[in-house]
Amino acid sequence: MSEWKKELNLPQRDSRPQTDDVLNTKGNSFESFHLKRELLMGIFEAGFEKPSPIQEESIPIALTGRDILARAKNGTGKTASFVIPSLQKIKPKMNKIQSLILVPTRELALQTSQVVKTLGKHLGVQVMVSTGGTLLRDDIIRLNDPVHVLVGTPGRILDLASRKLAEFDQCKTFIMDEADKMLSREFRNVIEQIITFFPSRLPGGANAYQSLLFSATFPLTVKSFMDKHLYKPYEINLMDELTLKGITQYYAFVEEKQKLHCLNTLFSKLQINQSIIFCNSTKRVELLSKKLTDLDYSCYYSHARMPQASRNKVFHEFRQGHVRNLVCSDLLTRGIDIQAVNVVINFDFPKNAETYLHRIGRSGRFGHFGIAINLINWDDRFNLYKIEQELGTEIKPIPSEIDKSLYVAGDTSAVPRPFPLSNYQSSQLSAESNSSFDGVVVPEQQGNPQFTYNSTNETSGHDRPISAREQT
Amino acid sequence: MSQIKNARPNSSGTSGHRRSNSRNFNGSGPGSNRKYNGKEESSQKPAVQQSKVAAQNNDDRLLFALAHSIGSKVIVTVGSGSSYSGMLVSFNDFAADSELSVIVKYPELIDGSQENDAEELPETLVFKAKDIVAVEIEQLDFSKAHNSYPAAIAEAAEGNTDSKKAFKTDTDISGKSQSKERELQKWVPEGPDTDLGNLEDDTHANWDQFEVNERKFGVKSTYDENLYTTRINRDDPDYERKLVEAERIAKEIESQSYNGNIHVAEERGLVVDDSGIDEEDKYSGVLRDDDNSQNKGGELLLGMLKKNVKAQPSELKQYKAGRYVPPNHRAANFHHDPAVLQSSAITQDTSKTKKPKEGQDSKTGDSKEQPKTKAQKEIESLKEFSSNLKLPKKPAEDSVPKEKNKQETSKTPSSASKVSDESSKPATAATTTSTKKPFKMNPNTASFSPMGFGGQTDFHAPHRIIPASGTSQGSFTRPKRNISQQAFFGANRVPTVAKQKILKDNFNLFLEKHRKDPKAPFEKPFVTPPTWETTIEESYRVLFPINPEIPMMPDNRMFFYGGGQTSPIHNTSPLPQQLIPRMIPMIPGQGPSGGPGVPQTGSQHFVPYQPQLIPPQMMMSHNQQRRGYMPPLSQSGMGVPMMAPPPFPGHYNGGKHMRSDNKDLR
Repeated sequence: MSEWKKELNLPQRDSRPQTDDVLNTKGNSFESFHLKRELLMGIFEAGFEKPSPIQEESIPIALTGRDILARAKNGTGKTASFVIPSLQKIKPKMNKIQSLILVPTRELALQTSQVVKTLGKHLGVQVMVSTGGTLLRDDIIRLNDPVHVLVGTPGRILDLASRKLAEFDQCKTFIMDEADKMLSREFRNVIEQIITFFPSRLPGGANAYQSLLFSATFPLTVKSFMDKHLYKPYEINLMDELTLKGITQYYAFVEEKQKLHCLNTLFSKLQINQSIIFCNSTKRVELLSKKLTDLDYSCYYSHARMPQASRNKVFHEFRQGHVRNLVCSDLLTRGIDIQAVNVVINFDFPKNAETYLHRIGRSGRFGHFGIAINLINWDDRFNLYKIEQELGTEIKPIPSEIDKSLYVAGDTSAVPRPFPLSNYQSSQLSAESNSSFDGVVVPEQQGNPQFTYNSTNETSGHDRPISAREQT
Repeated sequence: MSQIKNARPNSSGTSGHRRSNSRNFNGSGPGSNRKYNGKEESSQKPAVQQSKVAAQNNDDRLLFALAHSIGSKVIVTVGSGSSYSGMLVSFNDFAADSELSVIVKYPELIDGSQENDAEELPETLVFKAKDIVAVEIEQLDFSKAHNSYPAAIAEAAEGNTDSKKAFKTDTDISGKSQSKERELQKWVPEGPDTDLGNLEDDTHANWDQFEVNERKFGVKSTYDENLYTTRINRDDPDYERKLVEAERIAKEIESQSYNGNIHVAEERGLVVDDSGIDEEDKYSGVLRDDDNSQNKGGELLLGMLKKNVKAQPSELKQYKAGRYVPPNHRAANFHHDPAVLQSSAITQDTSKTKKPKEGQDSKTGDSKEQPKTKAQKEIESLKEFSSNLKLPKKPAEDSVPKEKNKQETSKTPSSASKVSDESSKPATAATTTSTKKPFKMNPNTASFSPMGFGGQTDFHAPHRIIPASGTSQGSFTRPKRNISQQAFFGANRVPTVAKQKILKDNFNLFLEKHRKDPKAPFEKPFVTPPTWETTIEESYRVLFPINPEIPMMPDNRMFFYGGGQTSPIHNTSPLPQQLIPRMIPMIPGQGPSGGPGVPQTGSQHFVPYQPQLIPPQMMMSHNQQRRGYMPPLSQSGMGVPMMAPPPFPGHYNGGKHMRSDNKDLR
C-alpha cells in the first residue's frame, strides 16, 4: 500500500452483504484506471473500494473520450461512472464550466452534485447546482465565480445558457443521468437547445465534446437522440434482466379502504431500516404521512408542489437518516440514493413499468438486499400483470412472515451517509451553530414500539447519527 | 431468412434434381469470391482444372452453408416425392464420398401420400445420398458466423448490426414472456380488525411536517445549501452591485415566454396548471416519442387517456412538437380547427382559479345555460369524434371513446351547465396568454405523432405539409364541417345576432370583394394542383416517369398537398382566374373548366370540399401515392414555416361556409 493511501480518512466499511449486481466484476481496481492521485483520494474516502461492473466498463472508455450510452441497474454505481471520468478531465485552473450534468429533478441534482463534491474533494473543483425553486438571482451571482462542474435541471440551465450567464464553449463533457427521462418529450427540446451552446462539431464529424448518457431504463426514445447527437457511441448494457437481484417483490391484494390497515400491519411486522412509501397523488402523500405520524411513526413527506426549501430539507434529512420513513410522490422515484432504505412500499401502484422499476430500485442500493411491497387494489391488477410482463419479473403474494434475510442486514452501523460530519468544512461548523448538530440525535425507538431489532447495539449506529462530538 | 436448395452437383440420376446453384452461396461474401478469382487468374490452368477448382470451391461453400445450418430445420425431399422436415444433425464428408447424405432428427413427414402413414418415424433418420432429391434449409443465418464472415463485419461496422447486438431497449431485455393474468391472493388482515378507514376520508391534508416531527420525534432539520452548491461570497465588496445586476437579469429571464414547456415554466417558478399530468408523468414516466416505437405509442396513449379521464387543464396552451401534451389537449393538437381546439380544451375545464360551489353553480347554470345544452351536445360529439380520430389501433379504437362516453353521459346533466358556465374564464385566460407569448416555430422540433404512424402503412398518416399554423403539427382529416358557433367561439362567447351579422359580413371574402369591386374576379384563397392525373389505372412507370413533369402554377406558387386538409393560406398575390371556378363552383357565369396544366380530373381529389365523400382509407392511399409525386417546390416548402396570419374564422368552415355565403350573394 502506498504512502498516500495510509493517510486517507477512510469511512467505516459497510459490511452488509451484496449481490452479483455489483460484485460481478473483472477485478479491476480504481488505481488501474490511472486516475489523478487527488481523485483517487476522493474516491477512497467516499468509501469506494472496487469499481462496480458499470464503473469498470464505463470509466476506461469514458477516459478515452468516446461517447457512451450505458445502462445498468438501479443503484449499481452509475453516478460515479460518469463523475469520475469527468472529474479526471477537469482542469481546476481553468475558470470555465467544463462539465455539465443534467438530471430530471432538483433533488437528484442536489444528490449528484454532492457526489461530485465528495469525489472531487481534493481536486479543488467548484461544483454548482442550478435548478428551479431557488433564487435565479443567486445562481447568477454564483456564476460570477469559478464553476467547473454544473449540475442542474434542463430548464434552469437553458435559461442561464441562453443569456450567456453559463457558458459552455469550453465544456467538454455533457452528461445526462436518467437519460431516458431526459429525452422524454417535455425535456427533449430543452436539451436540444442546450446542446447548441456546446462547442461545435469537429471537422471529422465527431462532437467537440463528449456525451455520456446513463440510465437504468431505455425505452426507444433514446435511440433517435443517440443517432442525432452522439458520435459512434459506445454502448454498455449490463442488464440481462431488469430488476435487481437483491430485491424481493411482493404484492398485497387489498381493498382500497384496507390499505391503511395493511400498511400499519406491515410497519408493525417489518424491520424497517429506512423506508420509502410511494403514493400517486400529492394529496395522498400528505394525507398518508399525516396518518403515519398520527400512528407514531416518524415520517416526512415530499412532492413537487411543496416549496423547494421544504423539499430540500426533507431530502437532506432523510438521506442523513434522521427520519425513518418518507412518503413521497414520483418526484423521488428516479435516482435518489439512500443506502439505508431496505423497504419500499407502493401504497399506490404506478402505471408505468419504468416507474415501478425505479421505485423499487430505491431499496437494495448498491447490491444490498431489500424488499418492495405493492398494495394492489382491484383496479390495479391489470397494471400489475402488465408491469410484470414488461419487466419479465414475478411479484409474489406477501407471506405472513417475510424472511428477514431477504432484507435485513445484520449490521447497519456503517451504511454510508452523504455527509459524514468530517466532511463539513470548518467554516460550516462554525457558521451553523454546533447546537443544531447536537440536537439531531433521534431518540431511539421513541414512539416506535413496533420496530423490533435484534439487539440495541445494532441500532445505535444507524438510528442515531453520529454527532459532531462523537466524531472529533 | 435465406433458403438454400441444394443437392450435390454430381449426385446425378434422380429426376427433379436441383443443381447446386452457386448463386446461393455467393452470399458467403466477397472474401470467398476473391479467393476464387485469385486462384483462377493466377493459375491459368486448363479448363478441366478450372472446373475442378470451381467444384472444389462449390464444395467449400456447401460445407460452409451446411456447417452453419446444423441445428436448424431442414426439409429433405426424397426420390419418392415425399418430404420430411426435421433438425439437421449431421452430414457426411461429401467431398470425399462425392455424395451428400444427411442425418435428421425428429423427422416429420410433411408431404408424402405414398408413404405408409401409419409407420412411426424413428427419432433419427438417415437420408442416403441416392435417395435425396433436395435439401432445403430454412432460416439460414450466416450472421452467426460473422467472425469469419467479412460481409457481416462490414455490415456491423456500418451500424447495421443485427438485432442481437444492437441497442437493447427495456422490452428487448425483459423479453415479453411469462406472467399472464392470474388469480391474485387476497390479503387477509391478521389480528383485531382495527379499521383505520380510507386514506381520503380525511380531507384536511395540510400539516407542518417539520413542526410535528420535531415535537413528536425530535427530528430537527439542518439543511444547508452550501453542502451542495458553491458558496456565495456575500462579503465581496462588489456584492451589492452584483446583486442588483443579477436581480435585473433574473427578472428579465423570468418574464420571458416559456413556450408552453411545462418543465421550463416549473423551473422558472411559474404556477402552471398541470393538473392534467401527475407526478409520475412529470418526473418518472417516459413519454415515448412514437416515431420509433410503432406499437407502443398506441398503448401508451391509451394508458394515458385511461388514466387521465378526469384531468382538467385550464389553459389552452400552444404546444410544440416534441413536448408533452396533456391528454385533454391532445385532441386539440390534431386539429387546426379552432372549434375542435377550443371545445376539446375548454369544455373539460374546471378552472383551478375559480372553484365554484356545486350547488350554486348548478342553480345559475340551470337558469341561464339551458339553451346551450344543444350546443354542448354538439361540442361533445365533436370531442368524441376527435378522440376517436386520434387513436391509432385496435385496442385503442373502441375502448377509449367508450370510456369518454361513459364519463360524459354520466356527467352531462349537472356538469354540462357547469362546464359552459366556467368556460369563460379559461377562455379569456387562454387568449391573454397566447397574446403574451408569441409562438415560435422551432425547426428542430420533431413532429408530434402520438401513435407512431411514422411510416406505417396501416394507418393514414397524412403527409404533413402545413402551410402555417401555430398550434398543431399533425394534420388530420377534418371530421366535420358543420361546427356550431358555440363550438367555434367557445361556449358562452357566441356573438349576438347583430355581431354575428357583422362578423359574417366582414369576414365574408365574397361580400368584401363584391363591395370593393363587383366586377373583379374572386381571389381564390388557395390552390390545389391536380393530385392525380388520371383515373385510369396505369403502370407506375407511366405515373412516375423518371423526370416527372409536374404542372407548375404560373406564379410559382407552392402546391399544397395537405392530406385531406388544405388549410387556407392568406394570399396576397392574385390567383389565376381560371382556377377559381373549380374551387367555387357556384359562381354564376363561370363554368368549371380546367386551367392550363390543371387537368380536370385532379379536382375530384380536392378533399376539403368534399370531405365526407372520401373515406379515410382512400385518402390515405392518395397521400401515400402522392409522396412519390411531390413537386420539388412543395417539398422544399414543407419545412418552411410560412408566416401567414391565423386564418380567418370564415375560412374554417371550409366549403360549407363558403357555399352558403355564395347563396347569400346571389
